[in-house]
Amino acid sequence: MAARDLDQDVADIEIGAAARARRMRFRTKPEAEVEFRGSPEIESDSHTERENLPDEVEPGKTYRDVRVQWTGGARLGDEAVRELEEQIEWKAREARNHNQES
Amino acid sequence: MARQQTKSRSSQKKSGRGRSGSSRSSSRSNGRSASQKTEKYRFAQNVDGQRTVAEREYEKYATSDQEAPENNPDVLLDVPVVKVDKIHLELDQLDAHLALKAKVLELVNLTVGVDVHLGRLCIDIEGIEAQALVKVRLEHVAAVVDRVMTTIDRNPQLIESLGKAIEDVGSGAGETLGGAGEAVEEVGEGAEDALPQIGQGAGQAVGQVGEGAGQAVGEVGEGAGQAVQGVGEGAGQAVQGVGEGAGEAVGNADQLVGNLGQTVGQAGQGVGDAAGGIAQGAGQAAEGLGGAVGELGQSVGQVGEGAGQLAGAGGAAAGGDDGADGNGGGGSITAPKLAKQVAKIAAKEIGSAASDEAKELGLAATKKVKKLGERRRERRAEKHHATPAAMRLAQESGVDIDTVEGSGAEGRITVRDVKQAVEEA
Repeated sequence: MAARDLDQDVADIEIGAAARARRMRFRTKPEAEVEFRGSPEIESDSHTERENLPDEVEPGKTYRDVRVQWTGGARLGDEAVRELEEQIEWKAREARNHNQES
Repeated sequence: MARQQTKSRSSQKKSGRGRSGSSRSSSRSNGRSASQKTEKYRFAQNVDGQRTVAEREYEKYATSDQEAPENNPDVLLDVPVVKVDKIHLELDQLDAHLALKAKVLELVNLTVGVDVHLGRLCIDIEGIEAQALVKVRLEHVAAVVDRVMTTIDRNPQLIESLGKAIEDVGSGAGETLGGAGEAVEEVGEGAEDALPQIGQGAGQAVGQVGEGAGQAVGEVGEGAGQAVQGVGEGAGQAVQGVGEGAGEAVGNADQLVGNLGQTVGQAGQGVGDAAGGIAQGAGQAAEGLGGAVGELGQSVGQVGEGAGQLAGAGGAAAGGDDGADGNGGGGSITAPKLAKQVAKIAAKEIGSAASDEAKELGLAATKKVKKLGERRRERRAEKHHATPAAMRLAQESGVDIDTVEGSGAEGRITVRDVKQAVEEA
């Protein structure tokens, strides 16, 4: 089977979220963590755009006319997939040889 | 994670799109509403001039049209816009996981996913407009799995080599076939786990939006709920498709059983016609070969059970009441095709609100997926079963990551765990 030549820039999974708010006030310092993960190996990237909102917000402070946009994506690594396919081909050859010997 | 602060971003929001993308839109410009029509009518029978209000209103907004056709996602969850006048939101330890998984025997185990963790969050917001978009493309993963299955089809010895030598007709062969049964079963289970998770995860996320938004968002929440239901159903259909594919794999296992039966028959023991039915073949094998081959029969039975469970899982995932009637036979409809249908249904249900921000979102999300410079740290984090952020925090705090107990998914060490370790130190 010939795998389609996938565009290097096309992700297997993409997530995006955007929000704007007239007023925003955090009562506590928020904790947020986003992690892309996968196997055998993935390539990932994310991008954040903020307007009127700092990276580290201050609890109790009111932020106005806030815009936040976050996008991220991940895909299986081409190199890792090639290695995986080579491993399988190698196992297939080994199995064939074993079968012929027996 | 790359971060960038931008303050020069221009607004391209169109006017006159204040209505949400809910299919329960109250617009009555043509006397029809989406909610009044049957599922069949809404989903499949819309033709020119008979489109829903939302479809006409948001005709020019279709996320998938923004991309080259070959890049269209197989699963699309698009929440075009959620508007809330005022909200007080409190969250405590919210974890969301979205993953695409594929496993074939012990040969391939592919996973691509994202974990989102929100610790305690307490916030007051006024005048909110929010959008969300999730795209999943199965083509890459499907191509890898397809290639592997083709390799296995051409080299059935590959399956045999995963267990003990086939000449060992006794327990060794039994284990081999048992393993094959389990593995084929895992294909179905893995897909069954992965695809509903997309629907469930989206359902939870949208559910949170719906819960917090109150009456103003109620309509949107309902619409989004329907969309998520569509995604869930689609995932079920996709699972059915995968189940069918796995059914074909079971068919290959049947052939393998048949081959083994022939081998045994050549040994003069007379296994009988293995192709005449797995259970029947197992019984005959047990009768004909005594104790050692009895194990073979048992393992053949396991293959049958695995196939039965797999078919049942496929049927159940498809949303039918009679899950046990799932058909493991190879079908012409593939999971990606079904998922694409689902994506279209979901997009229509949501109404695809015309939001330039959402368009930008889709485009931005589709653009560059580069190799991060943090690859090395990720690898180290993977080795220590910790998140990259947790790894970084541990290094900065001087905490030995090996001494931290993980509380994340599958015992993974998160930032929260490291912070706790720092506090306890």
